[in-house]
Amino acid sequence: MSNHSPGTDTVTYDDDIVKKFIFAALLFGGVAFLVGVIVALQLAYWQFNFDTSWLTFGRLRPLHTNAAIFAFAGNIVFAGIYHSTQRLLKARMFSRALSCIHFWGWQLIIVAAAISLPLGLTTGKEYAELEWPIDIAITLIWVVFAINFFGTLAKRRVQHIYVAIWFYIATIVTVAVLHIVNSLALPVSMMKSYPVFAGIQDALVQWWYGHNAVAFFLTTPFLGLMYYYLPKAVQRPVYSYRLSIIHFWALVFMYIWAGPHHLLNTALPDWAQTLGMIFSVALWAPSWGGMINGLLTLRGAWDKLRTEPVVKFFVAAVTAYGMSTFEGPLLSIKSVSSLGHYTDWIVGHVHVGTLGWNGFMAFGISYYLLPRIWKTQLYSKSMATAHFWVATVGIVLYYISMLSAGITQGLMWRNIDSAGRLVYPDFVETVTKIIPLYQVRVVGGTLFLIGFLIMIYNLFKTAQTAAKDATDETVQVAFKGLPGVEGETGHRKLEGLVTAFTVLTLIAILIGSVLEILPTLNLDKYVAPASKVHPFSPLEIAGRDIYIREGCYVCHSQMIRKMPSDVLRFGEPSTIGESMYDHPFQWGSKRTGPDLSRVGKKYPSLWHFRHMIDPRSISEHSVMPNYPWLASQKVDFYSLRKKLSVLKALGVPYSDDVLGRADVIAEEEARVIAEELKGQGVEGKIEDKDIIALIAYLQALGQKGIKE
Amino acid sequence: MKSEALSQFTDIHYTITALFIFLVLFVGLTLWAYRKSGKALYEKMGEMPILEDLKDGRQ
Ligand code: HEC
Repeated sequence: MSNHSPGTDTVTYDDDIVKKFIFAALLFGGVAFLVGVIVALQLAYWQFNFDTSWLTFGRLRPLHTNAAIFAFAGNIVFAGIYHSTQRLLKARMFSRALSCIHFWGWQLIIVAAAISLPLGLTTGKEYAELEWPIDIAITLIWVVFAINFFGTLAKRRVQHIYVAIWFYIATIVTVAVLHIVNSLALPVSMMKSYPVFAGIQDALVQWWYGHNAVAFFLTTPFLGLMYYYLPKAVQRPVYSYRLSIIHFWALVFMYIWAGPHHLLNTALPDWAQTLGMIFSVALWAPSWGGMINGLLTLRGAWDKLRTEPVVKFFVAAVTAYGMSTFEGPLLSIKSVSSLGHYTDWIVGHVHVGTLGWNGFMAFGISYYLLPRIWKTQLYSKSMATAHFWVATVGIVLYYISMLSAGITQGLMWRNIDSAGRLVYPDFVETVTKIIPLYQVRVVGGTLFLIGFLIMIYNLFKTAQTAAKDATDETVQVAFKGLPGVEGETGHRKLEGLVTAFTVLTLIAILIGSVLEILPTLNLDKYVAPASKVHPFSPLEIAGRDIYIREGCYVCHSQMIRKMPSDVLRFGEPSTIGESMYDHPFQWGSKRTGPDLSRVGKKYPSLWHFRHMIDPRSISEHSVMPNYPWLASQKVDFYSLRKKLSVLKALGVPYSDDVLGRADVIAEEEARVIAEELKGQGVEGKIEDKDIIALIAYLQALGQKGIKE
Repeated sequence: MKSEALSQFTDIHYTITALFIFLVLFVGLTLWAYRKSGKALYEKMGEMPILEDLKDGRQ
């Protein structure tokens, strides 16, 4: 970087790294969408896992969500941040080496996830399934990203920091806090760990993380991108800069509290539920402020909506943001949640957000950036428009089908006749009813994927017309150095003081987090001794780990809510005590199958044996996968001593005797169950197989209460 | 000692107080952001992403 004239710097932006991140986003986007269509297919037609362990719904669904969130959305966020930050700060990225470490590190993490999740190596915590070594890698790479980003801020050649950058700062700070706290765990082995939190604490921490992953990984960075690329695309400043300031602080203050809306009507103390509900409903206001701010940026340029595909994508994305931030608060109202929770309505809701808001922002940015970086024009605008419409129809089909499926099933679950009995006592009946809607969803998802492939072709053709001598963009910046901030006051001064600003953002999110989570760390206050439980036996722990490995929690809840329909169907409401030793909690968030928290002793062991191997032999219309490999794969008895000692270290009261003989005890337990099954005609050597441990665990569910 | 301090947090009044503080902060921030005197600066700030485009008239 040479100086041309005094006070003028020549700045060359690093666009190569931007290009790399976009490529990665598109590559992994394709994977995420494809796996999405496959898992959608598996719910419509259960055969589509070909009885292969690593293709079953419980293992692929985490792969789908992780790919969509961290690989697709993550990479596009990095691309957009690296591109816009350099321009907004008039500075090249702080370090090319850090940029490259960030890029390759992140892709390695994705590859590790893509291998480990189908293998069943998972923590069993939604959206945080990756095991501890990968979690550590994520932390390190995130720190690299942060240093690179703040380093760039430090060498900026502008005085004021545009609002998009604030959103990026909030993202970097908050995601770090969320990820680290939620991933706290004690390792058992290289790819197995137990989280330090259990039961209700784990639930609260997990959904504090889970919802704020939506907020600070899928919302704030994308809002930053919106505040930069939408004005760029329409060549108009954002409608109201003031509104964007309010938008920012309101989100930072309020989002962090919203997590408990995932736990409404559960065993979570009422005050926490109410708090989550209030903040979630209040979030509607700033969210819509942001949406209006985005849409009105088009004032006087609405014709671009007709002519420019990029603008079409952005406007539809912002509209989808508006729709999902309207529906979210609605679903956070306790009574609405009682209908929608555990159903496909929620699945529809998140897909308006991810496909509509995140997906369309990503597509708009790709269409906008790549031709510019290649110094050429987009190959075909009409193809981009076709992509837009195909994808839009796909999203509409997806949403409508899931909304109807959710409400239909929710109403069937709660339908109680005048005699006080369930009208649809057979759970499968409520599933069979919505299978046609699952088929419609497959069509919707496929359309979205087809639209994406049209884009890939279009961008590929565009690349062929790229200028051969395309060099990184260079600009001249007149800059007199950062002035002292003495003359400034209030917020403007704050913007000048990046550190203070960052710390303030951190404080805002920490206050909410601490006040919400600390009370549950003090569990004793809520758990009356009468409702305390015995911990799981060694064999049951082995079974529980199989339950986690196979991802049963993506289809089964273990949390009976305090509602008549739930209680009639599944038994007494779940208590805090019952899951107090559950590292991790397995309350679940979706009931594709029935709640299992009181399934223990409901059926004989033989029933489970046959049901696990072929659910349809018991329940004709079931969509549950077959698990034949459980009858041939061996239980890992020998790791049980280690597992129990880690659990003991985390506070589960195992006696030293049990610890020292965990494997022997488990083998003895297994022998008893196997003898029983053999007596009923099951053949072969089954006493050392996974299925026995899983049966032991299922039979123990809801049976551990200490009666006093 | 530590657990004593922690037990304070089970008090719902702390939470309500926090809610109240947030509300006041938020209203204050809104009023402040909409002060008349900020207008010129905010207009300038809003133009930051498109400044270079405005300058050399390129899309
Ligand atoms: C694709 C979703 C799905 C997955 C994954 C899944 N199940 Fe199911 N499960 C169902 C459905 C649907 C039913 C109801 C029909 C039936 O009984 O098969 C069910 C029923 C059950 C039942 C009977 C519950 C009752 O009260 O009748 C048990 C037990 C069960 N599943 C255990 C498991 C276990 C253990 C796993 C993991 C190894 C698992 N399921 C994975 C969908 C699923």
